Amino acid sequence: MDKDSPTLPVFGIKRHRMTTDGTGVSTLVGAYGCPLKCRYCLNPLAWNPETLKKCIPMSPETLYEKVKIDALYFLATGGGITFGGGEALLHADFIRQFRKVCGPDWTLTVETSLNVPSAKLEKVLDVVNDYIVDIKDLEPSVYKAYTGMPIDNTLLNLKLLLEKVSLDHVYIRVPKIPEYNTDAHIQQSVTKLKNMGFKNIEVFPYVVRQ
Amino acid sequence: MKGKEKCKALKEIRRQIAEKNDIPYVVSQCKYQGDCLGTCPKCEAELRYLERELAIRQGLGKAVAVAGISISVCASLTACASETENNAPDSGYEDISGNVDVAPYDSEDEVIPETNVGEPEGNVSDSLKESEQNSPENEKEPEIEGKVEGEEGIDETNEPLDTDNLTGDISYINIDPEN
Repeated sequence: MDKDSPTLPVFGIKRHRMTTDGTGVSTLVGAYGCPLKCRYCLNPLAWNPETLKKCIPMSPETLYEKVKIDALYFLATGGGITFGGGEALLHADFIRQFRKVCGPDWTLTVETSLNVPSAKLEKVLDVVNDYIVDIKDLEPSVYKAYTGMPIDNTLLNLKLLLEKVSLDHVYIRVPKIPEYNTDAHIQQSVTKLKNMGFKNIEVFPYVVRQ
Repeated sequence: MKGKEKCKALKEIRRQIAEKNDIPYVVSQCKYQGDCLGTCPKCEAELRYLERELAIRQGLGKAVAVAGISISVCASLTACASETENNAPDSGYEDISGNVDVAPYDSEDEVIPETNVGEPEGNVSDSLKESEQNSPENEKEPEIEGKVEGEEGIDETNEPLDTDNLTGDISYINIDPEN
């Protein structure tokens, strides 16, 4: 492993995902780390310190060797790698380097809340194809209450996507968050996103684990 | 999408790739009755076989057509869209922050691969890429890339973390969202 090469703390890889990460067959790569602490986080592994002990640090080359087993499926169906977690954009340097390793033909997708410094997003704009955004709620007070973080970075990055990315490649998910947002909040978020120009917007319920 | 449904969709993708490139490919019927993870050594071997045949054609200067297969078409052709997905509100994407498999594979779900792998036809040269080693012609139960030595079944194909290799290879990575 190149000492200077960025590494990805991988806690899971899921092959053969279909109809969940955009077009084609994809492999989901789960990486540790998230700036948010959402109450209903579906993947607390992504920020539980115990997970980090079990993560495998992978270089872009190592990951490529691992996932290229499905290259033919990717090429045939327009699929590729989906970086999830956690917050995929925390690993922007890695994703950028991974693109160099995997070449131009695979579709690279990030699952993100966009709550990262814009510099992170800027780093991947020319290497990532699709963005799947879990927006939480656009009402700042709801957002802060649910995630523990202010919404500012998210709003800045939404604008950045509007400016730099074809909106056909941005999929925004607006969750129904029990005890945090209401139908009115959700509708306001959807309306605001539509007014901004986003097209692919989906409302969905969070699954609350007991 | 359940494992069996994935298996059928992936098989249909392989069939279409073969058809597009005039590669002899016998679509075999899986005899395993239970659910699976969507792939097994036999499925992997078929994929490696296609890769090898495509490499041969490329080596001969023939045009190779791979792209353009619709996963939704494959799913519908195999009638494998699950009830859950069909009934999902605003379907299209599942919960995106989850779905990363880390749970250990349940050996009770182990797939029993068929012994008579659909025997592909075609010439195999020594200059083929590494995937050739996994070909159905050469092995009854081909070695799968990334498979952990000494383990059986298909679990490694969908359980990619090499937990056996973790010892001494764990580093802590400081993730600071502000940097």
